[in-house]
Formats: sequence, structure tokens, C-alpha cells
Amino acid sequence: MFLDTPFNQNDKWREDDPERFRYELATMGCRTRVFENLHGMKTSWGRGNLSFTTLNMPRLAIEARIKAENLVDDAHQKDAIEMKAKEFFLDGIREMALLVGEQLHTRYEYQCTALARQFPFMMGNDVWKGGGNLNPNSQVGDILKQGTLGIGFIGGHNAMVAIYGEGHAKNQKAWDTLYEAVTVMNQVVEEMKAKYNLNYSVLATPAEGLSGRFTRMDRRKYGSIPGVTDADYYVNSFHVDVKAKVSIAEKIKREAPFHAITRGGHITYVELDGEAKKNIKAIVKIVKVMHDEGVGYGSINHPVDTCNSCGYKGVIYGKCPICGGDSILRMRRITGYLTGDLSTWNSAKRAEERDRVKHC
Amino acid sequence: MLYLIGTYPETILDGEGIRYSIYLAGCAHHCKGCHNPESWNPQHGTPLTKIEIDRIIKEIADNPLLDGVTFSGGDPFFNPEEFLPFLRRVKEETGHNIWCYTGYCYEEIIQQPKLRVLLYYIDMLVDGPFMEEQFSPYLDFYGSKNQRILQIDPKSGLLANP
Repeated sequence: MFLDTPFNQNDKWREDDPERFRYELATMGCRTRVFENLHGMKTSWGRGNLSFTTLNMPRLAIEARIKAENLVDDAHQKDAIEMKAKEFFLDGIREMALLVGEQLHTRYEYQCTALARQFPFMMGNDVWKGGGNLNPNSQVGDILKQGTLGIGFIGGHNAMVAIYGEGHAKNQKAWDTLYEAVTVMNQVVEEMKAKYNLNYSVLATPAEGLSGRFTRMDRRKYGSIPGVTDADYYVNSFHVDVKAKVSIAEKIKREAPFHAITRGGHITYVELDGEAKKNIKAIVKIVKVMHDEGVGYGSINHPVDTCNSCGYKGVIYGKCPICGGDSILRMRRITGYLTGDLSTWNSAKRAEERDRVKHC
Repeated sequence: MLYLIGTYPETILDGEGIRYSIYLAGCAHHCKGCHNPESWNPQHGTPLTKIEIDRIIKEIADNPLLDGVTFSGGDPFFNPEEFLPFLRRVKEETGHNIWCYTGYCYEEIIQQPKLRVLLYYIDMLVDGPFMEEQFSPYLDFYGSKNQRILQIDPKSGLLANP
């Protein structure tokens, strides 16, 4: 977490304030960001994310491209088709984000009717600011105003391939379009905030089950489209294709600008090929680039294997180098989980790990 | 002709920082327990053509994040006559600090003029054969305890801190 990135700062933060933690951002869950607030202090403290709903960017892009192809008769007019497809795509994003905003509001109204005693820990311990003062039989109501409502998205990369035939790692037009799409989502967030006076935000969804589910649904509907629906998963939010051969610096530069416009949460990771603890200089350098490019929340993933017999930790090729044991826990990081073993991930996430380029 | 086994554009395994690693084919040491015995064959991989060398140098120059370049293999010292002009080009055109792995010991290298001349373009030499009985997984950037990371003074082509 980069506490000093401009959008992660709170003016009230003072180095000598023993309670400065109140003005420091903390990620909730694996990347959910709760900070800006229409109803009180700008803080993560005593608040949380209420709900988020993720829009399926690849589907909107496929629909936009089909519509554009039907409109532009000459299939050779590549630029004209792309331009039209972009227009339809951005319209689709706006329309869907508005729908999601309304859905989140409806859900919020329902959430407010819950009784305080349904959350004995959260309300009883004042984990939600003000919840401790509630009568156990009264509705939680306005207490939830502190919470955030996230409009999320998945598959920015796949959507750009659907429109341009290339992802935003390599194609500048694709990058600009994706950035514009997330900007449109931010405009909708501002409109929803004004309409309902609630803490809406744009979330770079940390999709888990969804990464496989949307892809399967779209493959059924549109068939297997190369680079769009032909893998077992959609690429996460604004991340460049996990298979793209881009350098560490390039990946960070491509993704960092999206952090400032996904205030509901985000992450940029790089994958290393070896034991990070043996090469601190490399780690420091990567952290510095992330900082300088404006990353809000970054991760450096590196393999850590543990021998189940003797406890040796390191990168283990085949058998344990210490005791020769062959029961090895292979820990990798994906959507925030470190505790597991590759064998416990869902099939879409295992497919993604297999495809991820080690930046080496 | 030199043969290239492969390159790693950003690795943290072959020396300090983020490095560009170049693996060259051919090795005369044939250490027991070698990870890549196929790399002993001097024609393993693909021919290192001028086009390939240009590509490598451009890729290094285009990456602002790199801390240096590492030569490994095989043993880059296997074919010193052909390694020298390649090494010199990389050193002079990229200006990066150079780590180089070899199965020869420093003391052997300085006795042989063909090998010794390579040291003028190397900043860190990781020397000595891999000895399976001295293997330890706790060593940073080398495999067995007999091996050493030696800082070379490029001006004299000798140890920087003898």
C-alpha cells in the first residue's frame, strides 16, 4: 500500500499524531479501498464496502463490435469499424454502469432494513461507526451510509481485443479506449453520488469465480473468439494480458494510471522468477517504480516452496535439497491469497497462473 | 560460431538487482549434478547471429529498469575467442555492469592469456566448478561452497581487492 500516493493521502495526517492511523488508508479484504466519504471523516476506520457488482466488459465490447460491423458495410474499413465499435462500447459501459448503480441502491435500501441484532459482532462492538448505539431491535438504517457501493469491471484486456484485435499492453488506441471507459464509469459514479448521496466508487474487481463464469457464458453465446473468449478466464480488471511479454517497467506504466480512477480498489502485481529474499535490491527498485508511477496498491509475487517434511523454504525444483523429501507445498499468490497451495485454487485461477508470464 | 541457449530479459536469480541474462552453449567442465547437461554441447540452442546480437543489445538498452547483464551457460569461457567480441560489444554499447559465470577458477584464468583478456570487460566473476558435495541452497547467486563471487577491476583485469 502506497500511503504517500497523492490520492491515498489525508490532509489531517500528522507524523506526531498517535491517532494518525485514522487518516491512513487500509485495504479491506484483498483490495477493497474505502477512504473518501460523503458522510464524515475520510478514513477506512469504522467503515467497509457494502456491495459491489461487476460489469462484463468483454460482452459489451463483443456486442459493440458486432453492431459496428453490421453498420459499416465494407469489412475493409478497419478504422471506421473500430471507431463505431468504440462509440457503442462507451455507450454500453455508461448504460450498464447506470443499471448497476440503481441495482446497488435497491440492494442498499434492503440492507438498511436489517436489524442491529442480526450483526451482534459488527454492531455490538461498534465496528461499523455508530452501530454500538443502536437498539438491537432497530434497523441499521443510516449507519450503512458510511459504507461504499462498488461498480466493478472485469476483462478490460479481452474487451480491447474484441474491438481492436489487440490488448492495451501493445495498442495505444486500445489503452486510450479502456481509460476512457473507466472514466465514463467514474462519471456515472459522480451522478449516482449526487442522486442518492451515497459512497459510490469504481472498483477494479478482484474477480475469483466470476473470472471463469462470465467467460463460459460468453463462449456459449458468441463462440470461441481468439484472445477474447478462448481462454478459461477473463483477465482481471485493467490488468494487461497475463500472457503479454512486457517488461516490469512497462507493465507498471500501463496499469498505474488506472489506480487513480479506481478508488474502490485496485492492484498491480509483477511476477518474479526466484527467491526475493536473496535479492533485496531488485525488490527496492520495483517498489520505487511503482511509487513513481502512481500505483496505489502493489504486489511483488515470487514463488515460495516449503518442504512438508523438514520445513525448508525456498524455490524447490523437484525434491527438497535438504532432506530429499518430495512432499512440497507450492505457494503462489493470486487474487490476494497466499495461504493456499496451487492445488486448492479454482480451475480458472489455476489456468491463469499457468499462463502468467514471469517477468524474467 | 557461438550458440545461444536463451535469454532472460529480467531475472533476479543471476546476480544483484534485476538483470538481463544471456546463456551461451558449450562447457568443458561436465560437473556431476549439473542442472543442464544439454548445455555442454557447444551447438545447443540457436546460432548467435549478428541480427540476434543486435536484438539483445537493443532489448537491454530499451529497459531502464536493468541493473546489469549476466553471462551464464554452459560456460561463457568455453570459446573465449568468439566470446570476446560479443562480450566487448555488450559492455561497450550498454555500459552495464557485467556478471559472468564460469567453471574455471580465477587462478586458472589469469594463467591463460585467451581467458584473461575477458576479465577486462567483467565486473563480477562467479568462478569455479559446481561441486555436488559442497552444494547448499542457502548461497546467494551460486550453487556450491567452493565457488566465489569476485570483484574484478576492469582497468587491470585483475581482482579489485586482492
